[in-house]
Amino acid sequence: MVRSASRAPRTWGTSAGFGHCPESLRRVVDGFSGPWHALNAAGAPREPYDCVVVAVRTLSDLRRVVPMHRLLPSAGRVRVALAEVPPWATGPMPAPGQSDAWRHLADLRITRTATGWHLDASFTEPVAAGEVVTSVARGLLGTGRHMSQPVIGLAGDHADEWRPGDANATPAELTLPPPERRDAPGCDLLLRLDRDRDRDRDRDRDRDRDEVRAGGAHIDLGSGRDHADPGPLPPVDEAVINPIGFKRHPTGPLAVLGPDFAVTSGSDVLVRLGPRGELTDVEVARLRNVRGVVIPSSEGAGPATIRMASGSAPGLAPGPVAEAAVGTVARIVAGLAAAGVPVITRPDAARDAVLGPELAEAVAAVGEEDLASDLRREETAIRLRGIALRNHGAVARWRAIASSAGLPVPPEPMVSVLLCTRRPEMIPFAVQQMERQRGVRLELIVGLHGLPAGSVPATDLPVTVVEASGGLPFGALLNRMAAAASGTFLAKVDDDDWYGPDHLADLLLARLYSGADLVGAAPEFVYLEPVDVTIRRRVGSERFAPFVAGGTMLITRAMFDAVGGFRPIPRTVDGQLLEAVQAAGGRIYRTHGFNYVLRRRNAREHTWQPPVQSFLTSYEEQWRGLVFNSLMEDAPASSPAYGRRK
Amino acid sequence: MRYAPRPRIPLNDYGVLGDPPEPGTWTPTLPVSVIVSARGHARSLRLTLAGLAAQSYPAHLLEVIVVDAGDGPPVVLPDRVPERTRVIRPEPGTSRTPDAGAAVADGHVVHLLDADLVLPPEHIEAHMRWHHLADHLVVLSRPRHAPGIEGKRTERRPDRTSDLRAAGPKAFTAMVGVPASVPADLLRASGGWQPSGEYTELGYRLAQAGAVFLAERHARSVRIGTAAEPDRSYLAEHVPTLRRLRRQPRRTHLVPYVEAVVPVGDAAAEDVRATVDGLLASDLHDIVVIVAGPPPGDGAQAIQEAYAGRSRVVFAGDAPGPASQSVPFRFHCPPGWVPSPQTLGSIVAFADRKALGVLSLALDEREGVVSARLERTAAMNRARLLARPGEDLDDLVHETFGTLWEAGETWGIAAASAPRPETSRPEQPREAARRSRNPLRRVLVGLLTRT
Repeated sequence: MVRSASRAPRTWGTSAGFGHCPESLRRVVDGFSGPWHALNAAGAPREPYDCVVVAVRTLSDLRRVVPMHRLLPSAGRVRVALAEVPPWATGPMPAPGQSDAWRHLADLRITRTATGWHLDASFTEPVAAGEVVTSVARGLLGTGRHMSQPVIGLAGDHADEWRPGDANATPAELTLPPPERRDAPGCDLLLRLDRDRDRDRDRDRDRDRDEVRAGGAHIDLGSGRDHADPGPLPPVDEAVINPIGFKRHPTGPLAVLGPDFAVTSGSDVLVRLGPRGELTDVEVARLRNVRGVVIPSSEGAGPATIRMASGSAPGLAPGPVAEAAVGTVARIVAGLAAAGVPVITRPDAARDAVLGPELAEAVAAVGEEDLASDLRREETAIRLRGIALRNHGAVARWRAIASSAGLPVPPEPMVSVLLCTRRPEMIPFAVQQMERQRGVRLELIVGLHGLPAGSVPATDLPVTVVEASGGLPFGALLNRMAAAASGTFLAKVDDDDWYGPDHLADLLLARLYSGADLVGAAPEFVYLEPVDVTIRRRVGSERFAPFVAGGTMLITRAMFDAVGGFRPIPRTVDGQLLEAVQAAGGRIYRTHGFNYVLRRRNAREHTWQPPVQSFLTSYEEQWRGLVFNSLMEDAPASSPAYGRRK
Repeated sequence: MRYAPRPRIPLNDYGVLGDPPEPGTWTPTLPVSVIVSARGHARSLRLTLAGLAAQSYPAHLLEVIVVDAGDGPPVVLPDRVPERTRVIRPEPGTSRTPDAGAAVADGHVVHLLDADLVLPPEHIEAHMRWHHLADHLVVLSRPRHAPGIEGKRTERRPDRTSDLRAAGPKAFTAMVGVPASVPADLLRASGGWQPSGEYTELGYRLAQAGAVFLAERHARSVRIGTAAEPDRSYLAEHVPTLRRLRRQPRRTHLVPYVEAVVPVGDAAAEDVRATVDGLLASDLHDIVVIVAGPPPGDGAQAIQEAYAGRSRVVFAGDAPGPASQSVPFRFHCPPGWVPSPQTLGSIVAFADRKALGVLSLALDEREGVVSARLERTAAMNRARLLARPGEDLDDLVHETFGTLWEAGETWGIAAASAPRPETSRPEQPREAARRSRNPLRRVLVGLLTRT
């Protein structure tokens, strides 16, 4: 239908992420070809438009628009075009929240395009387009990643990369003080990314670094400490750069990061990354089939001075190019590592200084032989991504930045471990497994199911003991244990399975990047006690899935309370909890199973288990005896009663 | 005292032994008996013995036994012979082959030669340096043919398999003639040298006894006679693993390919019969079924009578011991479990593809796990060779060949009481079984939500 309007509709458009592929921007929105406005804190339009078009290339770019959403004008019609999405993403269903906009909704169409989505919403009166965009981002990727405090002011080009997905950020102008909020300062910290106009790096070197400055006059950092260093790299957005969709059996060979940041495999260009090393979910999805990416070391690059100033794109002058390249390559390494794409590279002092010692060391330790077998490659990927996400993930980085700026940082969330047992001989073994958990704050809730008190050995962990008669249903006992727990998360563990030292930390990490309400590991590794064989099963991992191993469930306290806890029945309480979470609209994420070995006991001890031959119909790999992968890090032998040779 | 090192060599990959010492740089300790078969080569014997007299291997460790098996005049030793040289002439009617010599040899190693071979001085040493590294090696070296004499068999295998290292269980097929050196104990354990004198058959039996085969390129020799042609029909009867020689369908051979053992125990007669019937219906015809153990009471007669006319069914009082080592595979199947017609053929092919020593198939779990088991004789005997007291044979099989557990259902073994599922096409029984959405896989969902 062609509308013959007397006046041309006033349409305002903005785009993100098309910097190095402008041709796809022309195709992405039907009937609108520009002009495309930059989101500018100084010149934000105030009057309503007929239509606002927001074109983003990827989810990552959508997340970058969110902190700037206040700069979008209002309009009676809002179109959001998402050029490309990774296979794991859902459709852009808006999650309304408190926003006024959706009460005026007249029409909403969500259409799948060739590679992405198009959302077209009409309203009975002009609404803030930014709220619509925020709702869409929330619907796509969820919330609850613990990043909103403190409130950050963002000033300068590409400052939006520093707070991806943070709708509570304050866009600011470089030269002006950040806008005030009602009865409160506009921000707690102001991130300024100064434009390096004259490119004279010898002069005033300190000034052209990124800065985090104390925002309002009310925060006094003390004399001589009026700014903090946020580090040279923008953080990695866990919500989109993460292991979701990891392929354990890649079909492609090693790829190489070439000049102009193209990742090539033979003569094929697999992806071309942005000039500042922007890595998005779409590029990661395209790299899922490569075994690893070889990063050539940038020989001859000058030391230390890393400038992420916005103007220093490669290809202009040799000096800044080399320097920018070091930072860009570091950003690519951190991004790939966080996404679970293994990287191979030689040490490079300048780049490693940017990556930080822990990630640099881990990356340098990866050789081609580590990626030759799929199992070892996955171990390597898990190790790298854990370090990358814990060092360069947005949540972790902002904790560090806030802390270095002198702001108080809330403690890490606590995990309450629910350990319920009927077997006193297994308690020391189980407690030992929890004692070796690292990188996580935890308390132990031990449920003694028909056992006398005093069965719990001395431990440094905070322990709460809940006793119950053997007649109490298992689910009811778990609920009593949960009531005694004080953590933000509840993790259920079994007394006879083996856990790697990063088990809980990796579950927390998976919760962070998936945003799921319940996360668990895939029961990939199973020790079949009756035939003395360890198998790896074909279980898909790193995906949203309805089942996880019962002994690895980690659920948010909020979701646990929302579903009313475990079902008070003697058996299958895990499966029932998973069903309840799904029924309540929660999401369940299954992460890798390398930190967990399930023990399939002899039939006479657990009569309700599936028969041992059923495990043997679908295994992927098999080892004789009890064998651990390297991430289990020499799990302790079991208690003598069940001990087998290793 | 005999030095018997027993390194654990995976399959036939003797690379774990490391590089052998260079000739002249080490001190030999093991005695060797060189057995020279003079049959038909009396005229060139002089050259062979002269070559042996000039060996770098210490004379006090070297004895030479000339087996005079010719029909002509008795062998006369020439002037130049090694220090300790004997001639034996078997009595008419007994074996005329090098085995006659092996029976009287007192060396640790038996080195087999023909009298038409001319040896450079380091020939024996090059063989013997390997025998000092492990006691279950068969060292082969390939003679060159003298100019003008056409070699009948050119044997390329060592080149394709990195000197047999990658040859796996088929390595024995490289043994097509002499020179070959074998530890005397291993030669005895393999049953010695059979009259018809097929070296491939000897190689097969040595492999069954657990031998590792090794190609030594530096032990040179020149053949000035012509080598004998192999007797294919003999090999077809005696070497079951040469499958290309056994292409006639539904034919049995002297040595079967698989020996299926059904231990009767206290099973009901109909269960035993169901299992035996299932085995006999196998598409792999080249098998023998051993019904082992005292059949219970009344059923005994019934079982015996049921198979009275079947030559492929054997009754044994007890489970057969490890002695029947000529059969390459043994399959233990508990009574009451019925393999499909494709089962035997596909598990043997699977075990060959993966070079498995033992394939265990879990059938059911009651008090313990009920399982069927396919054993490769060569692997079991290798394990017996290597086992130290108290060691589990299966552990050694796993180290050298490999063991695997699978589900019996995957390979089409069903309970006798269960209704027979539709059998899949014989072309791809395994794939079909793999893909089927069987009920057990559904049970596995329960595991994910295990309490």
